[in-house]
Amino acid sequence: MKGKRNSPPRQRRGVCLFLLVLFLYVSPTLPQAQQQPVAVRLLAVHTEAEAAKLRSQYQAGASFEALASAYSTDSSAKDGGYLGLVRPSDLTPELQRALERLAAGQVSAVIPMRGDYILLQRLSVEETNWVVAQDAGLQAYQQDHYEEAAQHFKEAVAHGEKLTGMVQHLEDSLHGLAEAYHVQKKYAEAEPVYRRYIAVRWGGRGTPELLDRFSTLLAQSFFKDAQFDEAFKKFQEALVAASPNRELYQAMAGILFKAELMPEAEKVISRAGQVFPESREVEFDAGQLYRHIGKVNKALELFEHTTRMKAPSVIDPAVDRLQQTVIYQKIGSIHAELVESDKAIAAYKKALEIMPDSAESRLALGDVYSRMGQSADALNEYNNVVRSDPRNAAAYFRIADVNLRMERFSEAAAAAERVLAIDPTHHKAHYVQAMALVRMDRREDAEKVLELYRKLEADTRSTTDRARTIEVLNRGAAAIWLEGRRDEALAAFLKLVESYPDAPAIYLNLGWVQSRLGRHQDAAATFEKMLSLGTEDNFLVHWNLAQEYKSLGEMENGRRRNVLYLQRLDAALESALNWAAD
Amino acid sequence: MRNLFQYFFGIHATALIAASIVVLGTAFQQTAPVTFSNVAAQVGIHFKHQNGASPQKYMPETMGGGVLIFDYDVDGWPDVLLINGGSFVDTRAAAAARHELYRNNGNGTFTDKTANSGIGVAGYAMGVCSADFDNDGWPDVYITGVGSNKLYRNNGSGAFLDVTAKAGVGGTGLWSSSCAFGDIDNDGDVDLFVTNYVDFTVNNNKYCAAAGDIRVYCHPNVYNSLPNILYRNNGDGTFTDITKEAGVYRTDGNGLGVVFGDYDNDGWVDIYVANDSVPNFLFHNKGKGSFEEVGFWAGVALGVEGRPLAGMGTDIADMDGDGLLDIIVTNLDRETHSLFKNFGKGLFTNVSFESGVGEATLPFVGFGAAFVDYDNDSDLDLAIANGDITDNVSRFRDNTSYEQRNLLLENNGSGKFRDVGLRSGPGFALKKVSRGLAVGDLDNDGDLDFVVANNGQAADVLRNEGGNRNNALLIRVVGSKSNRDGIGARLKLTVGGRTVMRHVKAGSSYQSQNDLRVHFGMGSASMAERLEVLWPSGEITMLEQIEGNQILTVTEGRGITDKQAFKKN
Repeated sequence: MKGKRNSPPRQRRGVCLFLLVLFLYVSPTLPQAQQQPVAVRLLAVHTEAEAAKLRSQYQAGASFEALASAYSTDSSAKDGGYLGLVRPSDLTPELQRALERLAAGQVSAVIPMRGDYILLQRLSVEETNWVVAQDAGLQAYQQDHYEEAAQHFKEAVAHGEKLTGMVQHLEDSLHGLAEAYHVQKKYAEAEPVYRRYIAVRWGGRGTPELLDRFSTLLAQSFFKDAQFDEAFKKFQEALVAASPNRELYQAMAGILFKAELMPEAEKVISRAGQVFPESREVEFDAGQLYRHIGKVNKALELFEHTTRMKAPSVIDPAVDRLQQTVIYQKIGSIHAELVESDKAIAAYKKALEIMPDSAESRLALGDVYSRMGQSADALNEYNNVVRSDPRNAAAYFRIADVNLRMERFSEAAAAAERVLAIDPTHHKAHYVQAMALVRMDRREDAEKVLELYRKLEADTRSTTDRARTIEVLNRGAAAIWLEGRRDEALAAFLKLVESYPDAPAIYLNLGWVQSRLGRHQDAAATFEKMLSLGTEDNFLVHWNLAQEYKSLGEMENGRRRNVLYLQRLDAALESALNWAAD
Repeated sequence: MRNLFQYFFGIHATALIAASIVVLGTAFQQTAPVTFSNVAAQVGIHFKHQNGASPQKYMPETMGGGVLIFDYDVDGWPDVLLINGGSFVDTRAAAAARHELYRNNGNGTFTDKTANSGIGVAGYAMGVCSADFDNDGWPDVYITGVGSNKLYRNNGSGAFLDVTAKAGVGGTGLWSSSCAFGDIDNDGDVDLFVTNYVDFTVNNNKYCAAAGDIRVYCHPNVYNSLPNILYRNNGDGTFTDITKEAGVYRTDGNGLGVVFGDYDNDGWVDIYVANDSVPNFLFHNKGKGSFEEVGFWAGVALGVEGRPLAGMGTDIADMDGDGLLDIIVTNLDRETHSLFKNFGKGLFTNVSFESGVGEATLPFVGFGAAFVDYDNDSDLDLAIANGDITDNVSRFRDNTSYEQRNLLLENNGSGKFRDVGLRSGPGFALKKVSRGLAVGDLDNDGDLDFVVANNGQAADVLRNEGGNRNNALLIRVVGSKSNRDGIGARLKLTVGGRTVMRHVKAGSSYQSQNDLRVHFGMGSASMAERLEVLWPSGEITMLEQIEGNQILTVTEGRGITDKQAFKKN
């Protein structure tokens, strides 16, 4: 259930610091107006200058909620500064006075208060109405009163539609309404609401159709034939027509990348770069994509460009520093791959300038020294990491490995021991430890450790090899289809699911082939079987099922699957936003 | 009139200038790089490898062939045999592909003698090694391949006879790669080790892709590993497969490279196998040809950070002059090639990064490798043949290419290496898809040349110019109690109080074999105090005060039986 993201649940008001002082100031004799609840947001910072700066940003168009989320030191920051419906009489005198002077929708001047500096926003009537309805919906939902919840969410949607510049409220309400219908199995009602939610969340009216074409494309990622080319062409047309938001571009590129549709991912992220030329996030994602597909020189160019780009307008300085650090880490890793050690060192050092306690940067710097044969310098960096983070297994492993190469065996064994104390399954640490022990003439101990290493390594290899084999055989069967040998391809896929009954990727392709051959009943059964495995409940299988049930005339089943498709699709897109963060 | 000071100064100045010229001249001489040029066409070697590359991406198409440098007519001039592939899809091309045997004319040229040699076409071949397996004085040849291996007996008249069936060394009918001869039981004849790769066949060819849908050659782990084979020479022209009884039977290795060497100096030759993407093997000879696999213990199974690496080519030699054999293994790019330093007690340390080899090799996919003293300064340098395995790699990577330059890594004398390839003439600037690499003094001028086998391309002959500005010795050993070629013999040369060790190897690098003659660089010293030959039979030959710059034949039990001065160009 959505509603956490800036959707203010009432139960959170109690933890607000400022409201703790409420009870000292309650006066039962205050006029009636002061007893009427008012929806309020609050932003607290430690300096007047900062408060003034944030106020200016608000006046320049920034969202108060976003500013509060990013900068407020009060616990209400996580709710966008929302305090809920409060009675003015419950506030401190300073806040009461400020609130009295505020019209609905306005933000106060800076209010000094007990060493902090406050900005107060009085929500508009419309927003207050929305909050009331939304909260009621959430409460009803949590109490399993779904029909009542739906009513409240409908009301909240109506209020949300009147709010300008607060799209997220409408999103939350639409999502709540869709879920309320879904739970009641009212799929005919849920589906259009979900689609509307998707449109609001991910960019615009044409977005649901764009995503349908996106799903059509993904469903045949292994079958790049003329039909695929046509599907991609339609997808691109929809992309231009729909004008999705930046996040959708990024999420789609990530999903295409994971599906190994590299040229397609490249096209999407390229277009995102054209539509959002000032976006550092898009440029970064593009760099990551090129990095992953092996075009490292291109990736380097993009990462270097991001270092010259402005940060997003509303960003927590700590987050900004982290992003910049990551960018320099990426630059460093590419230079390291290109064996441009001096440039790699410079990039990692820059990352450390920005964020001196970044273990990743320091480890990577140590790795460059290690490759250059400068073992002492490498050790120095690794030791710096463990000094500030004594549970950093990666650092201890490197210390062990370098010491082994320097023939300092007891140090190597000790460091390997530390790794295994933190992560007992670190199989390379077992190997390094065994190597050190045998060189310390502790053969018996070494044998035991080496045995463990062999077992772990064999398990890992077995898993990797199996996954590789499945991928190869899956592609092989798809290749048979692409050569026009359709029945043979079908037979190959059927044989594969027999041999690898727990491999979801094979079911997807088998189902697609059955569908193309007009065997919709079989296709539906295949996709249902895939779901029954319990390992892969993704939007694509529901999308496929929805199409199959539609072909079979099973409308209710089709709608149900469509609703699940939309729900899972939204989750997949959210999750894919972080695809580039590795 | 000049005053005395000016006159005196003038004389001094002249002397100083003259002395400077001498010093500079010497320094220039000492620092002038050794260069290599590709003289293949010039010397008459016109071999072009046929790999039959097809859209089906049959794995052997990218694995290339080997090269053998050997003196098949025993005239003192090393000859060259280049191994060919063929085609899995074009039967005519398959039938037309032939290995090529080039006889060294002794005048800087070679003649193609394949036609009458008897070394015909047999399937899709891969590697080669050579030894006088029947001790009749004529070196024989073993050729590996996909589907069949062949043993050719040298009849002494310039021709070879296929004795595979009689000898019992036809292999398993699957994919064999490298081979090497060595006397595992010191009984006076050489035994044969054959590496087997994976169970690929045309009928079980897999569809492998990169970047989604770009078809590429498969990773070896999509197939099953094959066990290697160890054949014991029965001494009567036949061999027996003793793989299991000898303790070298393993079903978890994708063998590509092999080399014999006595790494623990116990008088019994050991075997190192480079395996592709799985741990390498070190088979320790416990005596009389009974082996135990000790790769993990010894520290030579895995690469840096304890990862199994690609493992294609290998060589073994004493690269740091401590009397112990060290090992090089070539791997993929971004893995580093592995350099294992032997520090005694049967243990090794991975010094890839510390030695400089690691960083120098990071961008390259390596195959053939050889420890070689190319500049005759007495320490062993490294030559590595490189070339990617993915012919369409540039479709999805922009920082590498199928064709890559080979590497020449100079040893500073203490086991630290630096890349001098681009300063060593056009030969090491060539970018090709290199696979087999063999080393030998082709022109008998005292410095070592290279023959490089390139996949689907012409072979290169890289002639060494300038290595013989330093002195050297080339030694051919002839066994009498030991096997005829003296394979496995260890030679120790003492020059200026320092002793360096080499040994006779028959098979190393990748699917290739070097000239059996042992080369010692002597630097500026013109005389060696001592040469010691430790024969596989246990016999020791000791020779004193040996002049440099000659080719010696040392016969077991008799000492020097022939000597020839180097042919200076």
